[in-house]
Formats: sequence, C-alpha cells, structure tokens
Amino acid sequence: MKKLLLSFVTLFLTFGILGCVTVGTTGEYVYVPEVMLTELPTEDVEVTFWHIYGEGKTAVLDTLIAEFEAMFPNVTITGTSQSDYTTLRSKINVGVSVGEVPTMALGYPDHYAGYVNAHAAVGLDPYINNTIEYTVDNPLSSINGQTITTSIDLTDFVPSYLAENNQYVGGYYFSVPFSKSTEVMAVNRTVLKQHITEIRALGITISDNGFLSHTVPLTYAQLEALTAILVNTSGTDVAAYKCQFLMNYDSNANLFINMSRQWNAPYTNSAGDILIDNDISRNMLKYINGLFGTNTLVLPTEWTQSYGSTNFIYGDVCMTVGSSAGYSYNVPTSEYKANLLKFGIFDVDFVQVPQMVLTDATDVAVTVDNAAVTVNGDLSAVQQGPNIGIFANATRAEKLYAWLFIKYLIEADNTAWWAMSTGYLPARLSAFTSDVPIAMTGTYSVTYSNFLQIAQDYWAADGDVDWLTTDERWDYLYSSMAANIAKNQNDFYEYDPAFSAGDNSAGSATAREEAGNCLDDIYNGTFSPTDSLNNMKSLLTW
Amino acid sequence: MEIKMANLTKIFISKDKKEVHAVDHVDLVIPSGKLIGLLGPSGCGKSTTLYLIAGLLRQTEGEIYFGEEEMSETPPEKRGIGLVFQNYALYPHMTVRENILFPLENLKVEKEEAKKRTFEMAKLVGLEEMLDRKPKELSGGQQQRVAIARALVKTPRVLLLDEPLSNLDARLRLQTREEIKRIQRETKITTVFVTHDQEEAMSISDEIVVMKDGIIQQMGEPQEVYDKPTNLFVAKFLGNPQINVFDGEIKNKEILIENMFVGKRDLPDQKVFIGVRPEGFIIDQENKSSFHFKVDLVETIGRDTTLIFDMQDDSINILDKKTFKAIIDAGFRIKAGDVVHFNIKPEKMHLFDINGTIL
Amino acid sequence: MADIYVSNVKAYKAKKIASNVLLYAFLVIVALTILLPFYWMILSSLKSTVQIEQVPPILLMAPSDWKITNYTDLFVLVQSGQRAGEPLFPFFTYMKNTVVVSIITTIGTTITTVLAAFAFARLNFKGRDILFAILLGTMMVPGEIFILTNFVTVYRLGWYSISNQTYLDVLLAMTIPFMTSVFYIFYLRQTFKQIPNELYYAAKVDGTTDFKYLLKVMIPIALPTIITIIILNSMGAWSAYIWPALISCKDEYRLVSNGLRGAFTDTSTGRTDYGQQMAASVLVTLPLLILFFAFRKQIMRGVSRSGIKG
Repeated sequence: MKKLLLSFVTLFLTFGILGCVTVGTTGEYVYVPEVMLTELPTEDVEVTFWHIYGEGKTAVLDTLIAEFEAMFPNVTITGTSQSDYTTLRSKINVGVSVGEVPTMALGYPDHYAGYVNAHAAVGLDPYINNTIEYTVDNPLSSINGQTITTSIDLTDFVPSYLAENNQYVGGYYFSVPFSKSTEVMAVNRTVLKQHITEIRALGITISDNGFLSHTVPLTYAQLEALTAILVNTSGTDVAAYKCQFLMNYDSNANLFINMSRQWNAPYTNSAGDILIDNDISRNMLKYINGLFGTNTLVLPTEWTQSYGSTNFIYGDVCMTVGSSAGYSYNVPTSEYKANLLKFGIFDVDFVQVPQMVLTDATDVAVTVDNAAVTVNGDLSAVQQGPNIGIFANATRAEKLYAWLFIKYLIEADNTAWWAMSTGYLPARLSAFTSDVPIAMTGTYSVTYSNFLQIAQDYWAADGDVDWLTTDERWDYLYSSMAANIAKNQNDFYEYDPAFSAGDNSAGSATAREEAGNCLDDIYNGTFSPTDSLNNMKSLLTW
Repeated sequence: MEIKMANLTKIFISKDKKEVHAVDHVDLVIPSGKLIGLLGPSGCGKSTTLYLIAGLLRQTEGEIYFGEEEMSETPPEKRGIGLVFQNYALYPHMTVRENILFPLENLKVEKEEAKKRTFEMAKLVGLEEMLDRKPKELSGGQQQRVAIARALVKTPRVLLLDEPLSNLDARLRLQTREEIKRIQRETKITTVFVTHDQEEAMSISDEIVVMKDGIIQQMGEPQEVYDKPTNLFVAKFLGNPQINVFDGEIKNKEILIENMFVGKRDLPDQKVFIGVRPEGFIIDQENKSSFHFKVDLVETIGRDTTLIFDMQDDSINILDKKTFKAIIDAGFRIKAGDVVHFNIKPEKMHLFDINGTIL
Repeated sequence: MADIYVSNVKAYKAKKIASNVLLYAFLVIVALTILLPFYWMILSSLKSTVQIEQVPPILLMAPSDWKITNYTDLFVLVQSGQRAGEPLFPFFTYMKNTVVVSIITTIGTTITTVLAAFAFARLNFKGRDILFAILLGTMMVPGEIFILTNFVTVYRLGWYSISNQTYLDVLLAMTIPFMTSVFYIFYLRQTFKQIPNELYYAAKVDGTTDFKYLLKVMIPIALPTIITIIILNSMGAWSAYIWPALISCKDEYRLVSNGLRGAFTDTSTGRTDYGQQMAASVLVTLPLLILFFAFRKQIMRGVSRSGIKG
C-alpha cells in the first residue's frame, strides 16, 4: 500500500515538474499591419535566410545574394541550408517558442499556416502595396542614387499561386511564391507510334511520329479507351507494343486531391474542415478503383516503389505522371542497359496531366459500379513547391531588406534563371517572355523564351529536327518540354488548402498523407473504396 | 593495548519502528595482547559490538576506550584496527599483493617499505608464493589468510575477526584456527574474535565473552567459564554434547532429581535446575546409588561411550521426551535396556535457581 | 563389449559431426545476415543511380564498372557560397564533430552515472528512495517530450543563436543535455548493489574515503558494466539525429548523421542519390569498423561481462 502510494506520488511529481514548462499560447489571431519605414536603413543589417538547398541550388542562390549585397552594401544575407523541410520546420517551430527564428525562410503553405497560428509570420500586404519611394544613398551601392519601391505587381503572377499564399487568416499574404512545380505526364512515344491508326480512330489527336497534343490534355475517358489498345494486362507484350499498365501516378496523394478537384468533390478547406465524407468522393474512389481494375491506372505500390519512373523506363507502364522537377527520371538514357529495357532506349514525350473534362463546369458521364454517374467536372492540375516568407521577430530594417531580397529573387529574370537552373517553374508570368540571356554553361547562354522554344521547335518538326548531335539544345530538350507543359496547364493550377491540426481534425499535411494511403489501401485491396474513405475520415477527425 | 567499553549501547530501529537493543549497556575490558573470543548465538550482538569497536557503526550510548583514548569520534581508519570478515571481503580485481598493499597505499607508506611489509605479511600467513594471484584463484583458507595479512599489514593496535572461519570446511577450519592462534601469538596483538561456535572460541581464545541479547553473560578463561558458568544460558551454550538439565529440588539440604538423591548442598528448600555435564556421571557398579535409569541407546565412538536415557516423563509425545546423555569410558559393557546407577562428580554438577542464576 | 564400445564411438563421432555441421551452418547464416547489408552498402556505393535501380539487381560488379566518382565527388570542392573551398561532403568536419560530441557526452555521462549510481547504491541520505523513484519515473516520459524544454533551456543559457553560435556553444548544447541517463544509473546501481557491504567496510577500515573507495574498488569491480555503458552511450551519441539537427545553426557544426541524411537528396524532387549516399555511409562506417577490430577484445569483454574472471 505504501509502495503504491509512493509510486503515485512519484508519477505526480515527475509529470508535475515536467508540466511546469509551458510553451507559447496561441490565442485568436489579430492582424497588425506592419509599419513601413520611410527611409532605407543605412546601418549594417544581417538577414538570415533558411532554405533546404544543396550545393547546386545554393550556388545559384549565392550569386543572387551577391548581386543583392552589391546593391545594398550594408546588408548581409546569410543563407543556411537546413538540409530538409522537416528539420527546417521543426527548428522554426521550437525557435518560435523562444523568439529565435531566421529573418526569412522557405516553407510550404501548411508550414506558414502553423507560423501564422503561432503569431510568428509577418503579413506581407503592406510591403506589396507600399507606395513609398526609397532612394538608395550609398556610394558603394551598384544602384546608388536610384529610386526603388517595395511593391510588386500581383497581376504578373499565376493567379492560383497568389491564392495559395493568401489563403491564411484574413486573406493576407503571409508568404509569396518562390519555387513552383506541377505534375506532367511522360509518355512512351515509341509504343504510341505503333498504334497511330487505332488511336486516331478514338478521335485522339496524334502526329505521325506519335506526339499527342501538348495544349489539350487527355481525358480519363480517352485513357480508358487507350487501355484497350495499349495494355496487355498479363504483362508487357513487346512484340505487340503493349505495356502491362497504361498510366502510373507517382504521387498517390496528388491523385486523390487532384481528382477530387476534377470531380468537384469536397476534400478540405483552408479553415481545416475535412469534407471527404460525401457521395462524390465515394463515387470518385469507386471510379479510380475501376481504373485500377483494368490496368488503366497503377500506383508505385504495385512495385513497392515510391516512384514509377524506373518501371516506366523498363517498359512496364506506358505513361507516368510525376513532378515537373523530376522529369529527367522518366527519360531513358544511354546509361541504361538497353537490353534490359523492354522497349530499349525509347522516345519520351511530355504531355499535360489527364483531366475529367476539357472545360470547367462540364458534365461528363462515367460508369461507377456498372451504373452511369454524371460528374460535373473542372480542369485541375497540381501546383506544388515552396513559398517564401518573413518572421515577425526581426527588426523593421531586417524585415524591409528581407522583403527587398524576396522581391529581387522573384524578379522575372531571376526567377527565370532560377527555374532553368533548378527545374522549377518561374514564379511570375513575365518570366516566360524574359529576354535576358542566362549562362547555363561556360559556352551556352539562353533566354527563358528561347529555352521554351526548344521543345516547341522539336514538336513543330514532329521530332525530325536537323540539330547537330553537339547542339546544346538536346541537353535542354526534356526540361524545355516539361516547362512548356507546365506553362500550358497553369490556367488550371489548383493549390492544396493548408491548415494546422485543430481541435477536431488533423493538419493538411496529415490529410494529404492519409489521402495517399487511402488510395494505396484501395489499390492493394486492403479496403473497399467506401471503407477506405471511412478509414481515412476516422484517421483525420476526432 | 587494552580496549575498554563503558555502558556501550547500540539501538537499531527495526522496520516496524521498534527499538532493538543490539548491544545493551555493555561494560567490558579486553586486556592488552590477549585473544578474546566473543561468543553467542546469532543475533546476540557480538558482531555489532565488533563493528562498534571498529567504528563502522556509531554507538547510541556509552564509550569505547583504546588504552586511555576515547575513540567514539575517531573514524575507522584512524583507530588503528585490522578487520577480517566472514566472507573475507577481498578486492576481487586486485592480486594478493595489491590486496595486502592497499591499506599501506592509503596510509601513504613509502613504496619500498610497503613492499617489504607486504612480503613479510605474506610470509607470515604462508602465501609468499601466491602474491600475484587473484583471490578467485585461491582456496577459501588461503583467501582468509590474505584477509588476515591485509588486516595486519598496517600493524594495527587491534585485530578484529568477524566469524572468520565459518565459510571454511571442517578441516580448513581447524588449520586456520591454529594459524590465527599462531599469528596472534607471534604478533601479540590485541584480538577480538567473534564466533557462534563455542568449541572454536574455547580452543582459540585466551578469554571468552559470552553474550546474549546484547548483554554480556560471562567473561573469563574458557575452561573457567566452562567449569563455573554463572547462569544456565552459559552452561547450556558451552560444551558439546550439551549439559544435561534436570528439573530437581532441594529438600532438607538434599539434592533430588525425581526424588532420587544425587548430592547434598546447604541451601534452603526450593525448586532448582540441576545441570550435569555428560562427562560428570560415574557409573556405580555396586548399584548403591539411588540415581538410576534404564539405558535407552548406547553409542560407542572411539574411547567414549555415550549413554542416552529417556526421562520417565508423562509426556506421550516422543518429540517432547526429555533425554540426557552420559559419557563414560568405553570399557564398560552396557547395552540398551540395562538399568544403570550413577554417582555424579560434584564439580560437574551445577545448581541454578528457577531464574537460571547459579546457586 | 568391444564392439559395443566401437559402435558407440562411431555413433558419437557421427553425432558430433552432425552437430558441428548444424552449428557451422547456423554460424554461416548468421554471418551472412550480418555481412550482407555491409556488402550491399559497399556494392551500392559503387553503382550509379541507374545501376541501383536495375532489374534484376546487379549482385557482382567488375572493378572496371565501379563508379568511383561516387567517392571522389564527395571531396570535390564547393565553388561558391559559405562553404566555398570545402568538399561537397565535408566528411572530416562532420566526422570531427561527431567524434568530439561522442567523446564529451560519453565522458560526461559516465561520470554522472557513476557518481549517481554510487550515491543511490551506497550512500544513505534522506529521501534517497523517493528521489530514485522519481528518476525512474522520468524513464516513462518519452525523450521527444524533452526536446522543447531542452531547447528553451539551451537557448536561455545562450548556446543557441542563429547568427552568433560559436563552436563551443554548439558543443555545450549538443552534450550537456545528454550527460546523464536514468537507465544507465539504474543499470550501474544494480551492479554496485551486488558488491558486498563488507567490501565497503573493509575499505573504510583500510583508510579510504567514499570517493577513493568508488574509484579504487567499485569502479574496477563494475568495469564490465561501465564499459557496456560507454559503448552503448557512444553508439547513441554517434547516431543521434534530431537534437543535433535542431541545435546546430551552421553547416560546419553538423554531425555526420545529419550530413548523411540531407546532403544527397534532390530538394525539388525529393529523390536521393543513393550511390553517393552509400559512398558517404561507407566512409562513415569505416572508422567504426577499424575501431571495432582494433578494440575487439576489449569490447567483447566489456559486453560479455565474463571478463571479470581471471
């Protein structure tokens, strides 16, 4: 009895002592607009910038930092890589509890939703709309005497990029787009080329050399029809140019979320509501399950992989949807042993991700469980990639210069350069027409518009270009293809609502993960579509 | 050096919050240069007394003097004692040499000197060949000798031995006993030897101290204590086989056991306990003595024959039967069932009052 | 009789051979299970990404096919930025940090563990048992919970600063919070408790202080346990990940564990260059293997505890 009492006292004391430390409370958010300085601060200012980039991208960033520091010699930008987003985010989250955070950092929308909740992020609208003109008064500055502003022209941005960055409390911008990517679909043109007549018979546009349209996406109805032509469910048939599966989707989560938008099926919203418990979502999952059943659609879990690229290259599947930044993983090169690849070193083309409908708010009839169902569909392609924002703890001078640095990073020429060097997409529209030549190698320079032109020329010639084998354009052909496809579908980019975990439901990152698991469970036969959805709902709400 | 204990008391608080008087107002003088056997059943306070002398325990009350010096405030290492434990307490990771050397290192004895003394000690206990062995590689007796050497190496004023022989087998025990005696004689160091084995204590000690319940019962030379016990407890505790205790009475100055006359004593009439050592019986071959019994069992071992008798008791229960033993010369031919008449050697018979005090 | 005897010998021999065959077969299987991952790591470190993903997998590679650049690229110097002039994978810097942090943590942990275990096993003081119970109670609290409180503490002590963190700061921040372990204290206390009281009394009579007794008697006797603690603790420090990543503000302060994770992942696609990562892993594992083989006897003895004999 005494021992029992002792253990209770002990437990109580232990947890009591631990419980003494409480960490920053989060009350209702009150937006306090930043006060703009009227003069450019002249004292020495250090701006700390946390990102996650490795050597290659850091080198580009360092050049931009150096240029910026030449313009503002009193400013030092200290960029530090935190190696991965998980570390970056947790360092900022613990840092917030003691007020030790960088001046600015890279982050996904759900990261910023958390920072906003913790009152740690700065609303950027005052900078965006600031009308004050600042004169640079520093003889050491490369722009001494010039007048600058902090404002940016929002109309120059892809609208959905903006929507993603002002989805937070009060509709303010707590971040701005920085590095963006989307999904594109790689297709095995060598296989397609063998079935041109049959494909044309379906009413699908295809060139003599097997190029599909780069401006009009395929629909899922067309994919279902293509399955009959291109798929041999018992295994890839090389002689008949048939793959075992028609289309792989790398990101199971993106498939769930993007398909929900194409079906107009409620998923989540920025307020943090989990909306998946509805008939449209259920029908959608049943429909996807039907596509799984006919080998029209496959997930990397089929091969216990994270990505389907390897199996695409090995010829198990004819098409694959993946990140535009990872396009190169879907291109078979001479590094591969041709005899091991079912179709050898085949030709690859990139097209837009498949859609339910080709015009917003159109009805389309699909068959779900042998019954006809009408879907009111929208166009949608996934938009992903980190944004950039500023933290509240910094001094006004630090914040101002951090903002000026952000503004510099996303200037058309710089974002174009960043995009071409990294495989990301430019943050703003004017970058597409940027005519500033960017040195890609010691001998080769290209403007962003000429960069886009590479794939356009290739497509226009139906693949029959008379470029020399030494032509640098070959090196940028596939990245140009991915960039063009991304640009062509940026009218219907959609973002994934971001929110932190709340009292009744999980955060957006968890929702995303469970969406992916939900599809894996259906694919693997663990759950029926309805059960899998119920399971997902029970995991996300409490 | 003489050790004197005055009013020495040690009270432990037991788990159920009761006071236990482990050592109870002990007054004791241990003469210089003597080997004293501290004897008693387990729990009698003998080890506690030893630890109090060593300074490992602090007394509740009373004083301890080494010579003229009061030691209560002196920590163990300053008391100049050597202590040997029942389980030897050798440092298992050290060699014999390192074990013996260890106290000297702590005393900061000069290196060469320490080496010399270590070797001398090893020689004294006959282990000079084993200096580089670890305790595990030694027999129990050898380990005990290492422990003694370690205790003696710092030339203590007092050597304290806590049941040093009880972990040894019978043969080794005898050997080591002799060894300890020899070493003590050679070193002439005041030694306190704690044991529960009366035979051991009697054979080794110059004087024995018998303790019970924290109280000293008797002190004196072993044979004297054996011959003249001051109380029934001492009489019973010493001697093997145990002393025979009869319920008897004194009537008209005659000592009677079950109304059989066994002797005379000038004492008032009363009930008494009559203790008779087994060797105190003389067979009355003429059967004149009225003190007689029927022999129940005869055991002859070597030169002695032990006769075992049942008391004529009302008790039916066999286990409760009182028996007594008489040791007689093996020359007598006696078999079970014989009726034997005895006389009792007066010096082997002790009378105790009903409280157990000698009369 | 003789026949029976001979046939018994034969049966015995057959039995012995059979049991030996089984024993060695078992040992070979165990050895393979342990060696295979090492082989795979080394093999992968010599492959290109394409080769790693090849189906069927490449099990053997001729030296001419080895992609040695996985290794050499690690030491290619960075051209620009904060780390200009340093190798792409600053192996020696990271390794130095890990070694320094491991050594400091292990020394610190061992000292606090020995002292605390001694106090709890040997010394009598008021509230000892309840204090020990509280300590044991903290074992029920998962370590992750301490991250935030430790972080706040370390920050208040001035060891965490985004722009002004010194090497000393980061060493203190990485080591001080981990310089004690309740589990090790408990473990060592049990060992200490098995040492008989008499030894303590004997040492007291022999003129040692508590501290000297601890140093000269308790520690040598409990050495196998202490070595086990040292080995376990260094392993823990070597592979520590979350805290070091959280608390180091500069790239050159990173530990090898953090360096291995982040350095080879393409941030825009989340894909890892496994060949290069494996090459770096080989480099990181190598010193450990060398250390293990150099101190094999001591480590085995420490772990198996049988070393106390003779």
